[in-house]
Amino acid sequence: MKLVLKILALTFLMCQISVYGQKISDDSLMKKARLEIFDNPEKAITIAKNLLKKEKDINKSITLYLLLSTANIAKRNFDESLQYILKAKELAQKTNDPKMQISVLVSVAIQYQQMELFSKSLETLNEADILLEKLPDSVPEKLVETARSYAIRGMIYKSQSNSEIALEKFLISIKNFEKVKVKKNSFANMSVVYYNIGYCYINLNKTEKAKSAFLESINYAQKSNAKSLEAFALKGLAEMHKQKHENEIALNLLIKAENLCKNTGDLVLNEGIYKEMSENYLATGRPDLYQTYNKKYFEMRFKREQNELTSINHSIDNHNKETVKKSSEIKNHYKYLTISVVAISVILIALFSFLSMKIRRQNRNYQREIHKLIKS
Amino acid sequence: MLKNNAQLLILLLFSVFINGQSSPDFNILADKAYQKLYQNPDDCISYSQSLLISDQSIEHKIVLQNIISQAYAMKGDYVQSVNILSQKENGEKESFSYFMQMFGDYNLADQYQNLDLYNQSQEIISNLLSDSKLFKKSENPKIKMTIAKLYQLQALNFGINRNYVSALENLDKSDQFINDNNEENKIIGTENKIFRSSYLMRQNKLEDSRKLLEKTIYNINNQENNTFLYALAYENLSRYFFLKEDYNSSIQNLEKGLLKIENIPYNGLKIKIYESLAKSYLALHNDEKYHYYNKLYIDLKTKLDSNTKEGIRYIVKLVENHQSQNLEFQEQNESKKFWILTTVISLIIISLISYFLIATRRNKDLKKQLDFFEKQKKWEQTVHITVPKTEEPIVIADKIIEKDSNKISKEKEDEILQKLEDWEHTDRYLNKNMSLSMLSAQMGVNTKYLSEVINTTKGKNFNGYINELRINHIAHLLKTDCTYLNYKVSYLAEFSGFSSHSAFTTVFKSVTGMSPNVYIQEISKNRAS
Repeated sequence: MKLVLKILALTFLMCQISVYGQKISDDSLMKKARLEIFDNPEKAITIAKNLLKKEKDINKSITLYLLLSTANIAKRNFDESLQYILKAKELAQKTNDPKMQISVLVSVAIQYQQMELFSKSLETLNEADILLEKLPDSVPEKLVETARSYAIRGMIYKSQSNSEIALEKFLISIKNFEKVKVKKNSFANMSVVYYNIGYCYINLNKTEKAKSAFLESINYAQKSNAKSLEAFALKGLAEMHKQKHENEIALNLLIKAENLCKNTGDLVLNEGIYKEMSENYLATGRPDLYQTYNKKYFEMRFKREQNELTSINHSIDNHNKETVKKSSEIKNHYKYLTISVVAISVILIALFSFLSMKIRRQNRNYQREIHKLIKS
Repeated sequence: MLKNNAQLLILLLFSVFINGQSSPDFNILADKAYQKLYQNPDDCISYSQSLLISDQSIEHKIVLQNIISQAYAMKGDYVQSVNILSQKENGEKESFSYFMQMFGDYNLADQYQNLDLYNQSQEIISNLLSDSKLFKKSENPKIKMTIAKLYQLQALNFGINRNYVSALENLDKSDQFINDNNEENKIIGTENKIFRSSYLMRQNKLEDSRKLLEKTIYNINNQENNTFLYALAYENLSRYFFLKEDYNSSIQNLEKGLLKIENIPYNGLKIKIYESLAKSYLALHNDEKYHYYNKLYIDLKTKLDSNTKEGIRYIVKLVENHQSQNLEFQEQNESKKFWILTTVISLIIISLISYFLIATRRNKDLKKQLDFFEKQKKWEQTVHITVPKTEEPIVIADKIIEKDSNKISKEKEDEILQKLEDWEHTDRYLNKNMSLSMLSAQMGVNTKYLSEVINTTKGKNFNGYINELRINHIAHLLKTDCTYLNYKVSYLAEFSGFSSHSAFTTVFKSVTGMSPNVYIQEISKNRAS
């Protein structure tokens, strides 16, 4: 469940970045860097660093700093990541644009939440709140950012198994989202928040309320055409039915969800669906199907876990490569040393052997002559 | 240079010797620590820590660190587990042994596996196991044990990738390196059996698996309290019943296992038991228990997951550490090889040079000898030729021309030379008391003139001149008259007018290029042949 949370937070983050992304969509390097973030964070970092050197526009610089921070999270280099976050924050304060400052602060909060530095994240959200209060109500961003800020708070409390407080925050978030006039952009976010609300109700054993929350989530997911979000909501609904021992209904919902997410390749979603399916089959006494889906669940979990480790594997591989390089350098160093020593000694040996042979021959000649002389 | 090399060589040999041995006391202590690992990880940690503080040998420290690290891993505290291994020893530098390097690799492979980095783990192990050097040294019990552990680890890696055939093969290989000598061996053996049964189960050989497990459980019960293995075996047995859809028996077995480790922080094992319990209760529609165990499972999983993530953050540091150590080891090895080679080669060169020097000296001597023999021959000839000539009347110019007091007139010089030649044909130079003044008196020539003439015409002073005459004489006698060969050197010295034996030998050597003894030998040899 925590994983689900993580991924949702990440979607938030991505939405955030894509907002900036529109402004600089012509910048193909930036796009490339963003694509590489999770597969090859090193490359993303070098691209971003290069771009940063040339960049004069403060907004773009902030985006680049956030990108560097995310890439460093992928590398699990949290210290570096924090430094970039702080730089982004500093830059944002220089802009004098409260809207910009707020959205950066919220991004920073998300970053902190990713690193599981919850108190830091909440602190940053409080900073954002102070700025938000100063904004006039007429500004549409005020509502969106408030909603986002509360959604993050909710997620933090939820991951700390504090469902009641989390629920409170989510409800405030939803209220703010609903006030937004141009709702189109916030449908996805609303679906995510409702999904979380649903889980909070499940944790609090309020199945009916959970049901309506999941239904809302499905509704908004459909409005924003987000199949995976709909599948997530369906999975939540199924979990609710499972709790009420309505395994057949749950299974029907899950099969629907499975069909929806077939092409998304979302490992977390698949993993969750298969897990629920296997458990429902187990509860309905169908061990064959349980086995199949349990196997699928393990497969997905393994894949997802290994996927998450891609970047760390990368950096270990890099280390290994470097070591191999260094080791061959040592080998070469000694090889050349040995070769030179051997070469010099061969020359010396040859020289002295030659000289010795020569002298020996001479000595023999002398001896022969001496013999002759003695004999004569 | 040579001395330095020799010192280095001795030092290296000595250090190898030090590393080669390990005190039996430590082996017993380490074995006990390993046993505690399977009884209570906390006990094991404090026990091993106390050993670690008192022990100075780096090799022992590495072994203890590995045990502590495994204990932390069993507790699910991966951060500590990694950190223990990254502790760098900053004591004095000791040279690495092969065991240390190999064990370091094993440690890293173990950590990789704990942190789900199975591919990295697998790679390291296959590299290690493909090294024939490892098996050559497998008589060493520590290395043998580590090979068994490596195969077990590799089996687990294959198991996770669902390659059960290879996993079982690796377990078989692991068993080959195990004996019943100590607790560590027994524990690994039992563990292998449990893993084997688990893979058999995955291959759907349920009955084989159950039989093996029941036998193993029987053995475990007979042994001293191996808490961990007991719980692990029952956890595996419960799976058999779960697959047979006998959920009640499954729960019974799980609870038996759980009861044993309830108060011991084997979190890695507990999480499996909680998960299986939750599933079994779900299948039995026991909501209350299902939620209870599911919550325990989820809480523990959250904890362990974040521990894993945190641990991964530190592993890079460990990798760096480990690899720099490996590089150091390699450097040490290479330089050892290099110095040995250099020493051998320099020894060869030095012996060649000494041979060359000896040969050169001999060459000089031989040259001198040759010169001497040639001169002797000439001398003999002149003796034969000139002796009759001596009767020729010598016209002595009595004119004394002394234009220059320093210069001797040509006539005077010739006269003196003639006189000297005559004198040479007599044996008078053999007189012990013969001196420059005596000779000049005999010849009736001014001492100064005589000395001058000898110096300029013979190229040496009077002593050198007379000595050479004496040696030539005695050498000639030795060569021509075999009776002289039987005389003692001291007699020869006396005979030829030398005051002492040693003076004779020295002069003889300087004139002929060999000592009188060698000369005598040479002559007799030639005579014989």
